[in-house]
Amino acid sequence: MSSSPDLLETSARVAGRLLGPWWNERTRRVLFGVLITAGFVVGLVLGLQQVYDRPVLDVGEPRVRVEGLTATVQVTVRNTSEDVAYCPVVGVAALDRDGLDLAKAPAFVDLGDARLAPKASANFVGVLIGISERDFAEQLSEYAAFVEHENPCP
Amino acid sequence: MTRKLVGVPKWPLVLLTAVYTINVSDQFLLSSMFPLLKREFGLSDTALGILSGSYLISVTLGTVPFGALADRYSRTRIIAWGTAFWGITMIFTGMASGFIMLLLGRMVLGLWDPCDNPTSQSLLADYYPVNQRSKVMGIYQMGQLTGFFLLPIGGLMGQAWGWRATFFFFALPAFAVALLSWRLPEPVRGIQERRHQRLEADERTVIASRYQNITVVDAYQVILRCRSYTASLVSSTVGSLFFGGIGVWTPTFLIRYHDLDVAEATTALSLVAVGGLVGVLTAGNLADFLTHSGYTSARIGVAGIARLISAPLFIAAFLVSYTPLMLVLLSFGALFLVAAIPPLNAARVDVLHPDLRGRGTSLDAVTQSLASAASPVIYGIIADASDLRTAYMTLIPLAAVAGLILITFALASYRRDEQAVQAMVREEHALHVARLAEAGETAGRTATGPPTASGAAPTGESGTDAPVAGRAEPLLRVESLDFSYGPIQVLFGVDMTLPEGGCHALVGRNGVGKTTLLANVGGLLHAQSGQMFFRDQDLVGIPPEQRAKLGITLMAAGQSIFPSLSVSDNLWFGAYPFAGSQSLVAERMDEVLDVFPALGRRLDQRAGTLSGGEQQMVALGRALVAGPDLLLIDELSLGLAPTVTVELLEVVERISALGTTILLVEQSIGVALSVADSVFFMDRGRVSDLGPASALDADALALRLLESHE
Repeated sequence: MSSSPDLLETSARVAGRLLGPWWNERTRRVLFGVLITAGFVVGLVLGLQQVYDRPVLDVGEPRVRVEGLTATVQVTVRNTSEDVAYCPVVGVAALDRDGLDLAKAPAFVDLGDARLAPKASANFVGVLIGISERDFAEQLSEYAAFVEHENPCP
Repeated sequence: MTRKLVGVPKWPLVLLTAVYTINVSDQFLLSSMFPLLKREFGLSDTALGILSGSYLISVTLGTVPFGALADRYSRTRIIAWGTAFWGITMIFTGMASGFIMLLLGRMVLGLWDPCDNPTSQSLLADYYPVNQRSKVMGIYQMGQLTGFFLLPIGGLMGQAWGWRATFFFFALPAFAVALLSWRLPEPVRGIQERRHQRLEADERTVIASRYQNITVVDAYQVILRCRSYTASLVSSTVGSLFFGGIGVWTPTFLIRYHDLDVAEATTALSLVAVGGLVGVLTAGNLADFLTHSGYTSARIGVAGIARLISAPLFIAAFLVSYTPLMLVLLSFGALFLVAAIPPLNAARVDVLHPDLRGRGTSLDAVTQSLASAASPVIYGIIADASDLRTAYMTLIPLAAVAGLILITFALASYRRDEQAVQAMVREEHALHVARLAEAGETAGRTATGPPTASGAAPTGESGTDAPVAGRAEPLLRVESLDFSYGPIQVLFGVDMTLPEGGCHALVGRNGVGKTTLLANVGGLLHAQSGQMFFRDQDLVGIPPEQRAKLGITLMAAGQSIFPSLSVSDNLWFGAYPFAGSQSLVAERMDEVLDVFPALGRRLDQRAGTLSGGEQQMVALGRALVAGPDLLLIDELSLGLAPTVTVELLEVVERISALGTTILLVEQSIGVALSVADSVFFMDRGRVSDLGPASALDADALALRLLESHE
């Protein structure tokens, strides 16, 4: 068995020989210190970067109208860029309690074309079909809208 | 029930609970990030299922090796490194650029996840006293439930800042707790069993055990031969087949049978967690309280009965149609179901040798994990074949079966298995003592110090035994202690540090507060302010009987015996800390009668018919039966003839030579200086350290005594 104590002991001895005499308590402490300091700093910096580095296309809260077993999902997408126009590919989905898809569909611009000029916004609408009555009642947790491709306009 | 934990400072428990919370938090985090991951990577549901499944497989695979490591190497370092790498892996996952990196991150994360559970349970068993294990396990178990409550926080962070930020920020506390874990002291394996049996005064002696170098196959054979452990393993596995599916299927049940919507049903499920929280906190205390009250197998009993009670509550919950009643019943069912975990975890470590606890705990975790994974599938199959309510009605009886297994098979063998572990620890200790003595003879040198109360040499090296530090650290520290009897203040900011070993006298005139100070240390009185530490353990709030178990025994002034009882019965009273272990009590009695051979001839005589000196011997003998590390003697010579006092002082010297630290309160300077190694002087409720007795002038001290308080 791979976790045999003998094997563990042998592995520890081999590792000790390979690492040589510098592998001692002092180096372990230094290595550990470096690991947690670097980890903490990197995690914090990357986290803060994510907080401040928002996606250029801002997707609003989906608004839903249900008729029978058909759900129509409408969402506002706003281009926050100062100078680039986008022609995004937008999708909508109905999600179950585990976040998995019950249904998924592309969403299209409600009025006008799909070109989002800088600082402009547009409504996208998608129609979700094929959700069973039981899934509607028991599994459907939320509706989601997302930008599948940002797609800068040519 | 005791109000406070008696053991090393509370922060190891708080820290290990925090580690547990952090490690559990990511189990739920990924699923709440599914919509965001799908959005970013365009993942299919199958890919998301693979992410979840791979993580569970990794956790299961990682549990057994970590159990083996926990039994071999420094557990605090395992947790520190494991948690640090867990944090690194979380950051790596947050940086994923595609499915493969996500998958790799989840699998590696799963391997680090079990670094804490088997390791922490083994550590907790050595940090905290045997008689408080259930309570400790209950607090530790809160970590799992707290991790569950972090899920909505993760969800909100994901919505606000994205899934990557959530992974990055969840990693940060891991580095903090890893650093703190590195600084945790590594307790000696089995130290609490040794303390429980008063086997040794020194805390750092590593004693060789028969299980230190056995193969993993042999280890599991030994573990599975322990009947109560195997019964608890089967019970937990059977129980998991039922409750592993509750979280998955109960929201569906609430929607189908109670017309709740999905959000309401999911919220209602949190009642289960709240019930569980109450359950783990109360059951741990209850099991310890009952054990303390003499129900020696209470841990198994409480766990078994809790599981049994949970079954009818769940049946009722899933049969009633009135939703509020259903939710109340569900909460109570969860309360009793989860209540079984802390006492069962405590019982599991009780019956396993200290060198096998990591592996034993990991085996239990693996079987429970597999059963929990199978449970939702079984629910689904039965629900498809008939309906969901039938599935519940079919599987709920498994909780009762789990309880029955405990209160039949486990209950029958728990006491025997637990005593077998205690006996093994005793044997290993005796072997250690014998080896030390042999090594001492071979080297032609005398021991480096007096033997301990149980006859063990206190320090030394032999075979695999680690070197032991000296006894320079204080045994008792009193800091700024104030005590008043109503409006009359007696102790005024008493500061006192008592080193380990030797006899120390506290002298002072009548009424200056000597007895009051001793009563505070013994726990009979409770100071209004100030602190007391016994081997760095905070004594404030700990009741006297727990202090006795810690090793503090108070011999009160005057006639402190039961005159109508026999000498033998008087001595038996002193064996209170070993209640429940007849063989250990008999062993302690024999050792005490070696010190007091005169009492051996009068065991059946009524103590009240003895002379004053003999009665004091009985009182001293009773104190010694408890195997104290610190013996507080109040006015030994009070009312006794000088010749009798001399005899008693010889006994005190013998007790001191056996390794027990003595604090002797005396008014007589002559008595104090004749026996004490150092002297403390008390006047007007304050204590000053006068230093070694050999350096003091008896006449000057007597003069100071006379001049004081005037």
